[in-house]
Amino acid sequence: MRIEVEDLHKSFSDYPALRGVNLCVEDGELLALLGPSGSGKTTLLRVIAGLDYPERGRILFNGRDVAGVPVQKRGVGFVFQHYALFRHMRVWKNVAFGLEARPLFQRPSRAERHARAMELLDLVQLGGLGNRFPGQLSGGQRQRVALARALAIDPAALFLDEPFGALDAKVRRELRRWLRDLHDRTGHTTLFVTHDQEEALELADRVVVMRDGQIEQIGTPEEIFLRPATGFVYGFLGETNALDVQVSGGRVFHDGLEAPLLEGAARPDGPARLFVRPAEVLLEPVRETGAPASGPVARVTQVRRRLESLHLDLVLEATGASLEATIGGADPAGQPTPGDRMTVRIGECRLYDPETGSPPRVEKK
Amino acid sequence: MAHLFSAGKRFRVLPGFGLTLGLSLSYLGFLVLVPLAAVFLKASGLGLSGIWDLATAPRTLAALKVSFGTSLCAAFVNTVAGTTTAWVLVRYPFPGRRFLDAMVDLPFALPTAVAGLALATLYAPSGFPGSLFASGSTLGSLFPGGELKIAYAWPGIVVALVFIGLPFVVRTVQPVLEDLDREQEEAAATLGAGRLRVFTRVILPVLLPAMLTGFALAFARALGEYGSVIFIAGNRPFQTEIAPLLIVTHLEQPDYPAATALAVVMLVMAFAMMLAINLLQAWTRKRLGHP
Repeated sequence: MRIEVEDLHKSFSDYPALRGVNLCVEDGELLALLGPSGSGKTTLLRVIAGLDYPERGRILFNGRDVAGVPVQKRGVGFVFQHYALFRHMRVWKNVAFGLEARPLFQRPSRAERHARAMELLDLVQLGGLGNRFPGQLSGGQRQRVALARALAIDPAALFLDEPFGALDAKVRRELRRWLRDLHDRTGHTTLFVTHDQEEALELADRVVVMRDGQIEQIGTPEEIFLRPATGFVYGFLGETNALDVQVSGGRVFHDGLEAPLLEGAARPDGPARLFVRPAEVLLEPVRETGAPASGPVARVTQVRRRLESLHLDLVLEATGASLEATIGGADPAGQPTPGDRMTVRIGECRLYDPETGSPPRVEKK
Repeated sequence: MAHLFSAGKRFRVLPGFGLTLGLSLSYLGFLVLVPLAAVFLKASGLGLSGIWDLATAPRTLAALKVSFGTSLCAAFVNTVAGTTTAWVLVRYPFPGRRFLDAMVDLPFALPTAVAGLALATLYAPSGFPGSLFASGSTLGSLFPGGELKIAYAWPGIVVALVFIGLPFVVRTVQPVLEDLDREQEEAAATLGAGRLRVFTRVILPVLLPAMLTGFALAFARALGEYGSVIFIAGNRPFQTEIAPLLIVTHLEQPDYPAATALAVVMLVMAFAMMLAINLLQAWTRKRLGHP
């Protein structure tokens, strides 16, 4: 099913959750809504599903306006973060609930409902657990029951709200791959909400990055990752340093720094915001020979060990701005220590307009 | 058995299993068990046949019928009304909600005699709700005889028992409703379930054990109620005389054997009913898959 959303607005008391969202989901697409908490991604999903009402805007399912269609009639499967299984019903009864809720004349017989539930439980690899109660299953199993339950109504689209958010990292990775497989087999138009960048990139055909109730960028994972439209998107897809800089004649200066941070910037002169990943902050120890350093100099303030790298906190000597850098840390000799002076060179980085470049609030898992 | 009493061997942040169990047992012993045993001891002097004769006396049977009948009736009314009240208090924010919430407990605090007097006045044919059902009124004409006598009649007893039993149901159902996962209702709605189905299949099964507990508490309280009922019942033997009142009547005559015999009968019947409700509750929990 093709879903179109036009100029959607929604606020909770005085807090605007959606501020003019336009979106088009193609039939059979697997789309991720990605953003930090409070960005409106869950609200968008709930409004499209019919669990919340928009104040303004239109939602079209296959070109048909669904404003007057209640959630019961929209025919969308919804999977909640905390499963929302009916704890007092056996697993197969949970899955068959949607069939049982059909109007009397379209309701399959009990035997048919049971058969269909068992078939779906097989599909989600839970065959044989139909007679358990949800309380007797693990988190990953429960979420798969929730998915089977949503699939039982033959939904026109499948909506998942942070489906793996309550699961541990290993189960989450397994379920991710499994969900992709399932989508490729069943072909449902699927929307899922996540704040996990990796999950969105790995799983989705297209990713919608949201911020403060608006869409920041829509694109394939490759487009989003390789060509982030704004500093926010760039910052949300990984650790970043953000610096206020001046571009002048293709050279980039930070706060009146003598030496340019970067040469050959393809940008008009004027203020900009520079984003650079810690791994692209290139460091070289300053040789105490008395000769002037070849670039801006920063002092190491802290060194922390990570799994396969060292993470450094630095302060630019000329301006006092702080920077973070990661360096390969396999070699125990030649490791920097706090107090060391380093020449800084910026490798691959991005320049954005100052106003779009405010640092994102990145959610920690 | 051994594992039951070895609880202290495991590390616990707060020790004191032995002490607290001992205190609870002596507390229950002195306040509940000893007085009840005394009743049985006193009654044992009569012999089984003696108790049976006294218990099956027509006046006693009539009083037991009134007591159990009205108590059951009131407990049913309270279960429905109390669940509705709890629902309103939990689900909807409205001005005065906290005030209403506090008012629910009033029947606990009010001297029951005061409640009985007030209800008797109001539900008499001259009082306000009472006049609606009085002879000649529209509502009254719906009933055989052209009026529904509330005060000094069977319905009056139920009214008094409803009054004193309401908080039990509200206070047992309320916390369960507060814990209810709203997403389950939303999930049911996305699966196509209408309001009635969401309520009967998703909400009610979760509430039912708490409702049964509330029912049992309200019923037990109603069975033993004396203060408010004697003011509104009219206390006519064979018609509106409740068993606790008959016990007092026997005591005043004084006819102690008859009083104890009736007490024993009430105790046994009440215990049997409470046991039955508890078993029903356990069965419901299991049936509905509660952990």
